[in-house]
Amino acid sequence: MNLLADTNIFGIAVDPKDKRRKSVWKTLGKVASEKMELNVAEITIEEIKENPHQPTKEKELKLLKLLITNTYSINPEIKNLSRRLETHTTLEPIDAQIVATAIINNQTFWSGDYYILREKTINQIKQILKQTNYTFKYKKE
Amino acid sequence: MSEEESFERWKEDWKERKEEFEADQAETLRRIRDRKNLEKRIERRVDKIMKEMAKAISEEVYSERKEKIRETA
Repeated sequence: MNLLADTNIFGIAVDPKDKRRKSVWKTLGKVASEKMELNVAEITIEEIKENPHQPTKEKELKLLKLLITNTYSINPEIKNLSRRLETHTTLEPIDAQIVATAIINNQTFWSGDYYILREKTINQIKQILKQTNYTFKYKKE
Repeated sequence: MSEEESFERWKEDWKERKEEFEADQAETLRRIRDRKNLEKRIERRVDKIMKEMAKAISEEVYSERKEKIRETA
């Protein structure tokens, strides 16, 4: 399975107070043992770099550097799908961009964001993809 | 304790509390995302306004020029 991790996954991984941390590390363990591949969208790196908490930011960037295989940039196909997701779902611009990056690159979108991975939004995304050859695969924390 | 010393101590306390506050990383990263979403929306709105303004100005200039040509003819 190829995963495209949302930014919050790195936050959960380094946060000792987050209850989802154990589950995230279980998956990261599989990535480390090469049973899974971990990738990110370019915007994820930009967002982590904006983390105001310096020591945590460094931990997140180190984790990212150690585990990711590919960093995906925006291309016209992603841009096009992202615009459609924005228009027809409740997704905000950057959320739509990350979800579109996962879909176009045939990745399983991995996120701990309840706003993005709520049933209503998932159904809206699937509805849009019905007219295409793409599928929306996701892993929720 | 002087005022300056107590202020310095308060600042240290605040730094610690701030670090504690920002320890909820998923929430911190969501706030960064929300700001980026807002920036994107503003950027698009500004683009739209600039295009509308440019269109309005060019239409105005064009009609003025047309008027002058008519007058000279």
